[in-house]
Amino acid sequence: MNDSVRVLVAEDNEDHLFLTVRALHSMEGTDLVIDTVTDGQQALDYLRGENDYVGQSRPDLILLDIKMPRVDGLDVLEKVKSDPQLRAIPTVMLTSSERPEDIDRAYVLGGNSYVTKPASSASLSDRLTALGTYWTQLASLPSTNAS
Amino acid sequence: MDALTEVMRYLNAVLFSALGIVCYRAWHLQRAVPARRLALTFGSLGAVAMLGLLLPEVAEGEGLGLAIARRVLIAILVVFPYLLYRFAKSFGPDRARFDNLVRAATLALVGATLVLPRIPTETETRPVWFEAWILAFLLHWTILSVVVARSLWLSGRGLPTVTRRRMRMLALGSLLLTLALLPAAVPASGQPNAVQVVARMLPALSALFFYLGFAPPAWLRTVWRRPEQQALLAAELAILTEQTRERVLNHLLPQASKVIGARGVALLDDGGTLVAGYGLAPGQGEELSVLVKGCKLPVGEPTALTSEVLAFPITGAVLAVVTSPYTPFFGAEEIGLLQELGVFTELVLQREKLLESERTSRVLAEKANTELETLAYGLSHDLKSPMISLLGYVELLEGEYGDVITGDGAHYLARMTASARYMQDLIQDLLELSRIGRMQTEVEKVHLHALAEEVSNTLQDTYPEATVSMGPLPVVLANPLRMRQLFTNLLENAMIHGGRPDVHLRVDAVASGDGAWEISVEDDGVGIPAVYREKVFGIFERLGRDSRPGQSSTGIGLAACRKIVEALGGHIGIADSAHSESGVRFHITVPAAAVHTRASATSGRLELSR
Repeated sequence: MNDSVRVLVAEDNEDHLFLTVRALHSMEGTDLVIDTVTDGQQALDYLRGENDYVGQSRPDLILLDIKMPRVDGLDVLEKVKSDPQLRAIPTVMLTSSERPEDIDRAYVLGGNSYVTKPASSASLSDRLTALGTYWTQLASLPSTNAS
Repeated sequence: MDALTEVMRYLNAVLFSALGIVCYRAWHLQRAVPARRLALTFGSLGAVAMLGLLLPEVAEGEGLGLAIARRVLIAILVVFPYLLYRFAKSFGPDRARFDNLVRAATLALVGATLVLPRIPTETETRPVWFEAWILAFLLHWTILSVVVARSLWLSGRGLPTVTRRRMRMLALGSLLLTLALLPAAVPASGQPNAVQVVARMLPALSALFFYLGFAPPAWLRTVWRRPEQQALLAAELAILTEQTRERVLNHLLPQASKVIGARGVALLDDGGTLVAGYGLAPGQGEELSVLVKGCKLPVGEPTALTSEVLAFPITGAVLAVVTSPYTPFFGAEEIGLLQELGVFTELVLQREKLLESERTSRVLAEKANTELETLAYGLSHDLKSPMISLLGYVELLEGEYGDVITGDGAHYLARMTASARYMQDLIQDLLELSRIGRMQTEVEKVHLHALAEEVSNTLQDTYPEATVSMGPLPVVLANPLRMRQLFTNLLENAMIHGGRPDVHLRVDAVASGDGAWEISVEDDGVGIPAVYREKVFGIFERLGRDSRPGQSSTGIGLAACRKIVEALGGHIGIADSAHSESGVRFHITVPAAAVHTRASATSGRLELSR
């Protein structure tokens, strides 16, 4: 994984946000810049660099809570993955439910991975490593949708 | 011969007088136009018959008074067919021109009768004018009688049996009376004896038919009424399966109407509002409503509200009967019939009320149940979030300050963590349980054998020493996730609570012949005491300490199993294990409706049979 990875965490619950950020920071061997937003609309603004986030640089990773006010996590996911500028950013869904249906839906919409809250640093580390491996491999394939 | 003649004369006189009296009584009981006309008709005939008896035979040189009396009697006799005609008219449509013709003819004849110079005796040869008069008389009588007979016969068409037969009896009586008169055209001496005898009998016979026509005896009415009785019985049976009041009454009222011979029947409730009607004229419903509202009705007896409407109160309602000219006056038998009908209607209405209240209760209960389930779901859903936070912080505390917190503090922290985790499991299970009820189950074909094997294999990672043997299992139509949950819970339950790590399980199924299957999950573990075998299916019920320390179960597994099985339409229970001394056997009944019938169960391979 690269150094100085920029992560966007979108989570409306303060405590869950704190715990997730804490878990991220506890991962060994990474230098993270963590930005947080507390609802789906803010997340979209951030990603698109609009409204309050003009000039915001794109994150390298998105951690997305499924249930959020204004714009739902799954809606954000859908919009991100249908936007050619954003779809390449790996997205990890933060779920409180292990229900296969919810997880499947996240995958169908293009989510790259999921983590069950409360996210432990170990599980986050797992996911991100896996994503990193995938990413590296993708980079070595002839890419059709490089952004 | 003469003796017979005399007897017949007396008999006829008596019969026709009796007929007159019967008609008069009928009119007295049912004050309607047809009855009045009938009373007039036969009353006069009866009077004539009686008085004719008293008058001596025509003799030469009789007195003026006698002659006049005789003329008057004959005049009445002349008018008789006209009166009968008017009676028959009250059932059918008016035909003004024919009416006028008839009236004119009758008047003319009466006039002719009164101006007859004299009445020849039996032995005289008849003068021409007399013959002419007799001819006119007979023509008048015959034509009118035939018209009446035809009219009465046809008016019976399409009516209930009793009425129809009555009308036809009257028609026959009319005809017979005509036939009785025809011999009068020829002088008595010119007729053969046989004809004379028959001629004397015919009036009596016609009287009989008339009598059967407008006052048939109760037993005869019962016999005639049989087809309608059958129809009513059939309707009553049909009603037993009907659920709504409208449909019940739609069956009942037409048949009731026909049995009584009414024009229409209506059911009104206590307040006088029309509930249902049959055969009512437009607007008649409101009329009846007004009539019933205005009266205090004695229960159990029919009361005439108007000349046409009879009201019969029953519990909570009133049966209103609209009579027609054909409806017989109500004898004891008709009242009995009406009472029977009333009782039956009451029963039926009560039953319908009960069904309605049961429906309402059921709807309320279902609503309450749904609300409860929604609440449980919502609650467990909302509890998740703070649960996550709690667990997160506790784990954080343990992770970052675990080595600083020592002694009792460490223990407290450990218990906090354990409780938080347990609570999370509970909430998760509760959520799952409430979902089983809420979810619209998408059913598909589920091969239970394959599924059970899969579950068993997965579980054996966690419980490596446990063993599972499997027999054939049916293919069912169910929600696959739920089936997986069912088997996971049952197998895991046995493995956890078996009492020893190397517990052996048997999963098997037997067809119970009517398309249903009984699946059994058996173990040879420590078993469940009989007293608890129902309790364990309760939510959050756990028996004693867990056999494996550190493995906690929330106790919701079996409750979920029961819910899943019941959603399938089946039943789950616990019995003693058949193959070991101590273990238990969970038996699950899968009803035929949930079994996929085209495939029969085998060990994993699909065999299409039957």
